[in-house]
Amino acid sequence: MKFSAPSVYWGCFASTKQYCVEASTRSLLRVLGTNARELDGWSCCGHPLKGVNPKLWLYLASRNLSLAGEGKLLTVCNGCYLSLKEAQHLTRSSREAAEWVRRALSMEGLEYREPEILHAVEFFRHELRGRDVARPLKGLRLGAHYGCHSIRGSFEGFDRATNPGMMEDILAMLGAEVVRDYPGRLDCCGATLMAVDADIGFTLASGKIAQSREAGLDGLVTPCPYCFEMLDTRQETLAELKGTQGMPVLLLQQAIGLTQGIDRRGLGLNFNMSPVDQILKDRE
Amino acid sequence: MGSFKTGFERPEMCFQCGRCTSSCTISKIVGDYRPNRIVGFVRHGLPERVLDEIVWKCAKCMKCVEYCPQKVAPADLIVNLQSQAVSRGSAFPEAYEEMLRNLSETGLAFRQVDVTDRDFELCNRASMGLPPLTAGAKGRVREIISRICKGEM
Repeated sequence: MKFSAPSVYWGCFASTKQYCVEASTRSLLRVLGTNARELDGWSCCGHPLKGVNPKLWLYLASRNLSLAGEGKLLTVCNGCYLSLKEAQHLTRSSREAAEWVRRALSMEGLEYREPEILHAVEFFRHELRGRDVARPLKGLRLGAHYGCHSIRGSFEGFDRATNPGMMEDILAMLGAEVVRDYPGRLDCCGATLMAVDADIGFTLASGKIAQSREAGLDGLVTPCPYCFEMLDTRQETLAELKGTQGMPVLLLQQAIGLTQGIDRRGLGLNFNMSPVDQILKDRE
Repeated sequence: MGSFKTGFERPEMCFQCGRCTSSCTISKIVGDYRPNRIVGFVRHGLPERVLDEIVWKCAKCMKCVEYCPQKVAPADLIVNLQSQAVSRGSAFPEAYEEMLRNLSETGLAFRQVDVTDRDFELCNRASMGLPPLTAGAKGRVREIISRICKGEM
């Protein structure tokens, strides 16, 4: 059975810069026949500013939850997912926090509401069940890069934090030859460090790609726009600064979309800066 | 409007097993960054021994949260130390200043930009076939954001 119409929370990064995330997600929702709703008036989830002002984070995250109401809320960014889940967990476990949130929201006439927050991985795994897939990814050795904020945190997540498997399930459904484990599979892409100390960020991203190459992967697949930025968009910079060799990287939505007959433009594949043609040439 | 804990940190539960540091993404690269020491200083009432600039090095990978046997949540403690440093007027990364500015003006942390794709074509929402953004913060929301930033609530 399909999930009932979710609201979609796009998040700042996917909607102001990493357009392939929004483009591929919209194309996929259309093809899967998901009746998704826009979340009018949504704002930043607060995640990147949590350390600067935790109350600002809590207000912003709770506000977006409340706009979504009591239905399902689909997130397409690991940062947003973590932020919204943590805020919900906090208001559930701290009466003081919940009261503060209610008062802050009431200032704009909003009532605190709790949607069911869904990560793109759990959502698409569910929606893909029983669907036919086309050939493009058959036989490719693909590895999942979950990204930290999809699996770890103080709340109950959608998968096992120390050994998740849902992305591998999806890749198997798509016909890929899934590499279920490789060194550094659950490691950090370094995105947070870009605001603080870019060289550390580049070192982490470069190490991640090097490990996936050593493991003999044909490509990495990630559900997160920040991880995608680090591992794909910045590959030229990584080659210059760290001598990193190329590794094809796909967004999860792009990988799924390729098996559902969506064209390159619809998946924003013109955005991938990693050598994706290496694995997709003559396959579509 | 009251103060309350916004993280799940429990430094008082730490018994210095060091699993946070052995799992830490940053400790492997930055020698003097060790979450167990940060937790230890706070636990023993010496938070001033933790340098303001070191707390920003956290990658927020949450491995310490996951692997801590005592549910100390060191990453949450470090986020808390970041905000304490900001409240004291200590400098914080410029990128966050910019996000704060964007947020108070548009409701989003980033501004819409044109992006060059692999074929050197300039892309934006319209050229990618995306509808206009329905996001944004109007009058009342901006006022609340501003009041929170000023510490008035």
